[in-house]
Amino acid sequence: MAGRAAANSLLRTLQRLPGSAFQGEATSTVARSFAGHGFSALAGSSAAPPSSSSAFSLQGATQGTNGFNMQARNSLPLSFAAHMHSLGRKDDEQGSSVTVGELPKVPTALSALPPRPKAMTQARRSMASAADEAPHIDSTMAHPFHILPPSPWPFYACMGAMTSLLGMAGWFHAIPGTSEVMYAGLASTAATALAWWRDCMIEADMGMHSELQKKNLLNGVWLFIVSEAVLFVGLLWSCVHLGMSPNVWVQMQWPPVGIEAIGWEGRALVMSAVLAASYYSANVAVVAKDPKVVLGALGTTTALGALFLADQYLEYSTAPFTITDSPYGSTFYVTTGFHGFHVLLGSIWLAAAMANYSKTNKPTTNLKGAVLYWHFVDIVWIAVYGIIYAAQL
Amino acid sequence: MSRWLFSVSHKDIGILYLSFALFAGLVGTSLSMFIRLELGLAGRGLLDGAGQLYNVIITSHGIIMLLFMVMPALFGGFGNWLVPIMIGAPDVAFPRLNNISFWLNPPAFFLLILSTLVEQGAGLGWTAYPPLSIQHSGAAVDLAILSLHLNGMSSILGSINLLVTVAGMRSAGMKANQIPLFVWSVVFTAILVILSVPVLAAALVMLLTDRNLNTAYFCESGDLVLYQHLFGFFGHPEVYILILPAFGIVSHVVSFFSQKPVFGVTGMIAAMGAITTLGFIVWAHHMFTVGLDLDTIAYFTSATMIIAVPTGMKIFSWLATIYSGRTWFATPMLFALGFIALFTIGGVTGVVLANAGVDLLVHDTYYVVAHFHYVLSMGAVFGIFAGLYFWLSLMTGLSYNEARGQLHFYLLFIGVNLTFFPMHMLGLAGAPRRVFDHPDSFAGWNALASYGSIISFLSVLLLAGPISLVPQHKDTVTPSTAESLEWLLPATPANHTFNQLPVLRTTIVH
Repeated sequence: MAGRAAANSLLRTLQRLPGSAFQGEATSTVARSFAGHGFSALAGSSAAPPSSSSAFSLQGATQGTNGFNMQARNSLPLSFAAHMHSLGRKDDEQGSSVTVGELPKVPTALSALPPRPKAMTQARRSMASAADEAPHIDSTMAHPFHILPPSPWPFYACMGAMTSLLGMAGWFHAIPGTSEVMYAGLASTAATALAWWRDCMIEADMGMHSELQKKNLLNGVWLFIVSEAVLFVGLLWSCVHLGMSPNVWVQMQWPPVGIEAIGWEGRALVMSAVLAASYYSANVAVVAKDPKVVLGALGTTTALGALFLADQYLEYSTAPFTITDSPYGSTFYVTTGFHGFHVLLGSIWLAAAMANYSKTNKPTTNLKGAVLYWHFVDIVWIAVYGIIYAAQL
Repeated sequence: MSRWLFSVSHKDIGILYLSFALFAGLVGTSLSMFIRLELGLAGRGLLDGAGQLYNVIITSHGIIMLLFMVMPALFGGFGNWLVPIMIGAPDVAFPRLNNISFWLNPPAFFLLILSTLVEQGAGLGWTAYPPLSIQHSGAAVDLAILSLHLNGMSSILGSINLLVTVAGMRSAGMKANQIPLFVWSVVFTAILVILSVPVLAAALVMLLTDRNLNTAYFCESGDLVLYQHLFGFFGHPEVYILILPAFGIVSHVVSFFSQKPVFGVTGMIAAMGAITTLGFIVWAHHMFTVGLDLDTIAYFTSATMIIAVPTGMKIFSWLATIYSGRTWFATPMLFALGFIALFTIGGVTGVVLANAGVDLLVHDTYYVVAHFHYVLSMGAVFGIFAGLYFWLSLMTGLSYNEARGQLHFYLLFIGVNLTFFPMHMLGLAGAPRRVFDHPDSFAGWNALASYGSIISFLSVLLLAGPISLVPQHKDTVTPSTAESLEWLLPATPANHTFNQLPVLRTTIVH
């Protein structure tokens, strides 16, 4: 059939691509028995449980003793690129000799598991949802993870980062022309990030992200937040260290003599209230069911973020000291500046999540990540507010 | 090209990491040869009295060996290549993130090399302590700092990726104590990276702003010790970042070539957890001479010595694994045994240095240099070679010549011991580190160390010798004692390894 020929030629093209998943052999069919200490690989239905002193067995998921045609599954280890095109191939499966049975909710390999309720239900849930929510995923994909086609964005982003840092080193020393290099690098990195995120969104729209993959993404956001928190630990450490033991150069007083420190009351308190309110509204965005409420909450949160930044602008432009005025000025501006930069990033992320939400009216992992990140930004403010404004360190 | 530049396959990226580490390792080794040839004779040597050049060389040598050789090889290379396979996953959780974690490294390396060429180069020592690092002129220092930023970003992203992978992509049925020890070591390494490297980033930001934006963190009105605290809070976990994956590799190699499972797996995991935790609360033992108060010194001395307990657990567990096993002294096993012996020597001198009283005497002497080269140059690097000879056939399909491999081991073993053991004597005699010349009284041990370094340099060149570049189509190893999933695969496994996920099934046989 014409369609099938087209699919075959597509496959051949894919095989010629460098780095294609099609070049390798299907490895899960390897069966090799290991005498001695523990593991054995079983493949096919012929494998017998190890009879010697074995304590474990590793079971390749290729056993064919189930209700559907495993042969068809083994023959095509499809990558992302291939099932990007599998939509066009769906119709032709009717006439082909390869029949793929109805995709089972639970892969048979998993049904052979010993009863380990927690792991089992998790795997079960993820596999089932991958099949349910993304009907276009090719039925030969038997795992819930996201296999990607090669992507140019990481490499370009690194080149952009290198360009901007080279420019920055020159800019620090006022070498003519290097600030342009820095801005060009930053712009190209940002453009690459946009292209990268666009890819992520397209893949998410196509349902490439299984429940397990979504969980991984959120775990990634969590760990990123942890690393950011440690960055603030370092910055706040400097505030505490310098504030607790001011040396003789600043008359052993903190804030140093001649510095009019910014207190906890007044604008800083307003900024805290703004972020506290945004903490609440961000929470509403993930809890609420009504799309209008969600959009309203997201809009409110973003607006409050902008309000905070405006407040910070006022604070900076009216503060009676600069970044070069004693270690107090340094810790104050660098720490609050880093926090403000994170508020800016969080606001942009929330705005992007909002734009995304308004298209589908469905809560996305992106949205959860944005709100999680926003909570982090809020909580860091408590530490910044407590240490810099309230404790005056 | 797109396979390598735009790669999303954890195996390709792992190979990229290893190749990059090999390249950086050769650069770092050449720099160390400059150091040794300069120090081989008292008086004007190879560098003809160029002290700043010597400082630039030791700085680059340190940064390159730690951050561009050991970390990419152990954590990036082996971690990337092996972790997904060992837990039965088709790839890491975020393949594109994996690619950016690698490709941040060559630009960082480029910036570092560039910094040595700009003006006088960055002659700071790898720790970049102020006041030198804020008074040192030129864009060279800024380039070096920015290079460290890029490298740190790469490590953080890679750690996030591997942690998420292990947390969310283990094959069904794999319980915590069934996760291979190498994977555990990478997990703990990743935790260390995520919790320590951002503190370095903060400290480097302060350096940059002090240098260029007129802030006052480390100038007279600020505090130099602040930088040492921040750097130590990164720096001490960093040494465990460097060594933990080598622990994992040695566990696998020792178990494999003793044809026994690792003794006390739970204890091994707990020991790595304890090292990870303790690694964060001992940083000020690098700062005994800055004027900490006595209570602080007493705390950091005792906390530091406690680390010997979990480390000793690991050493004794390896010995118990070897004991009564049918040992097979192939090249990887020799490297693992060398690791155990020499790392223990480095650990013992570490306990000596942990005593603040002793440290006041030998602080910043060659005793310290000997100590950290025993744990890193013979610990981490022997771990890399053990892993390389062990998994080479699986990774690349290439085999190595056993006799030549053993020659490589023995030459390196003799070379590094000749190089670094005399440094203990130099240090105890009071020879200060980071000085490009020495009085005649130190000439003997220095000459011996330089001869030793020539032997180890030759052995590193010999690394090319053992590896046969003809791909072996037959399976080169038929392990009978494999404890982990990667040996169930043919040499050079397919791109994403598992089309369908393996399932670990526990059968209790009576």
